[in-house]
Amino acid sequence: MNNSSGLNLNRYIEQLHKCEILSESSVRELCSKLKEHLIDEPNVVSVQAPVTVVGDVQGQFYDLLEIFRVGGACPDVNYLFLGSFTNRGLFSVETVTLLLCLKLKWPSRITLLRGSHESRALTQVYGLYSECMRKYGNPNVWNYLTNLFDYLPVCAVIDDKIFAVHGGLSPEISCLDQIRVMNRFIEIAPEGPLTDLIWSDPDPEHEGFGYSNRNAGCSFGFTSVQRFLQGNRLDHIVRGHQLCMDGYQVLFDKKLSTIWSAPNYGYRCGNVGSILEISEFLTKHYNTFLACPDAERDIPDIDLLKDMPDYFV
Amino acid sequence: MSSETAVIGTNDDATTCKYSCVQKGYWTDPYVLFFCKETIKRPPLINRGYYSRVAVINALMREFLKSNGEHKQLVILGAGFDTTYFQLKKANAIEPEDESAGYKRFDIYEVDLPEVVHKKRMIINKQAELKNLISTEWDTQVRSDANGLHSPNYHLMSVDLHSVQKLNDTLVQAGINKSLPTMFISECVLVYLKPEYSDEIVRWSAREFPTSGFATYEQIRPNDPFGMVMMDNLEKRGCPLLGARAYPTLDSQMKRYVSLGWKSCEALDMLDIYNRILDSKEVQR
Repeated sequence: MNNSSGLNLNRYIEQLHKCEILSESSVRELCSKLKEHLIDEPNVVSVQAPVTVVGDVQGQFYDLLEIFRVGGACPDVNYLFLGSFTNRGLFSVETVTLLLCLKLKWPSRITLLRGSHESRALTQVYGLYSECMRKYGNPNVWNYLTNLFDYLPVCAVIDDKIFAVHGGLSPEISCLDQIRVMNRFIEIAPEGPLTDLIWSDPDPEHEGFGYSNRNAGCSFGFTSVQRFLQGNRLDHIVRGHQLCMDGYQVLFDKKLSTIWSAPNYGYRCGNVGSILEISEFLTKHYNTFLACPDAERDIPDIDLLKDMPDYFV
Repeated sequence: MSSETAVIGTNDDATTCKYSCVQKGYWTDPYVLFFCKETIKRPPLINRGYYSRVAVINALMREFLKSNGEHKQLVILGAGFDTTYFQLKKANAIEPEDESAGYKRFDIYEVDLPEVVHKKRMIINKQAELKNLISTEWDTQVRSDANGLHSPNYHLMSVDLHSVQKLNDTLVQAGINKSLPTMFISECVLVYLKPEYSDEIVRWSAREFPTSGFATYEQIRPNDPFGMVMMDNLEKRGCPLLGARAYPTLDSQMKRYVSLGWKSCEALDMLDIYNRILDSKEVQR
């Protein structure tokens, strides 16, 4: 199998581990090759345990390296990323391109799902676009990456038992087959079932589906979760999308986990990060970790007064 | 290390954020744009936080201004580019006969660092709309110089809040009447001072103004995970929260005001304000 002909993925991966960006043409080739692979990946990816599930990383590159230190290197450990690898952090480009390289090199060892931040709209507001302009001087890399994001699958099922998705459930989806027949190769729409999967949040205070506080998606309660799990013969939902101060949160009688993998989110929240290690027997271990120490990370030369995190001052 | 430049910078930051809210329709304020250095769209979380802050302080002010008593005073500490005076004056101008819309007679005293006062004076001087709200007889009624701006109902003065004596003397010289109902406002101001200085202001205001109230909005809980990172980040930025560790909880804040001479004190956190106190229809909108 030679998906990567013409691409020196080992060199790219080594370069990225030093937090050095790839050339514009390398990113173009990488995205082009990966699209050829992803076009064959189904909307609902079948993943085999053991696998380690990673929540939002949001451009926090050094914390991604910390995840590989804590959880084990890919491909020694299988990984499933729940999406939102980009935006907000200072190294979205390095974070995304490293994950794409790993995916192209070991396609069956790492699964990348689309998160709410893998969209043209959000990347223009929350960081990836301006980071690409800053690092490349033009928007081409942003174009290659956002075009590639359209190819990412939206959900996965681990050993036919655990449903993995970025946001949550949709009132329009009761059965996995409905997801399988959708056209996912588009920008995330303002509403609809695909958007719900990527944007929704659980609501422990209510039973069924309701309105979301966000601009997209909906909220879903215990009854919705139970119905979905029973109807599809699943045991558990694992998702990201929401910040958890303790790194993770378990809800609905242990039927749903939220995994948040960006410690000290936005360089200001002071939260812990976590990854969910699922064994071959489907036992769950919530492994928490702190942000990579400042001494071990590159702090870019930014105007501290202008680019500091937002506070009410 | 606290840097005066960085603390002054928080005024520009707050002004930009307030304008971001006004642009999005969170509230109306036709004057804030005059004072904005740059216009940047802020994320919804910041907009909602500022909305809550402005809504609750405005509600307290308006309640005070509509309460019993014919003549009131507002002392806005660290006022920065606050546009309250212009908004209230405009409201009175629109509906002078409608008691429910307008306010009884009020005077506003704003104090801030010299650099901020100078900038605000310059901006006011360039805008006829602002000048007219201060006075329609500018040449005879208004005195504007390096120390500040004085008019019949609006006073803008340079005072470093480290000296409560200077604060007292400046206000007295401006004509403040200590026997009138007076409301003090500190919107992210006292917390930038060391507690020995901010306590002096709280104590002095309770002692010198027998009919008064004090509204404070500032950061607390510096010791939880979010708070520790916030303290660190703001220190790096040069505007450390020098007062936050002394009064880290709602409870300690309430005890503070009572122990410094205020009859009673109530403290709420902003989540409570957002969920319970603010107009739910507005919050929904």
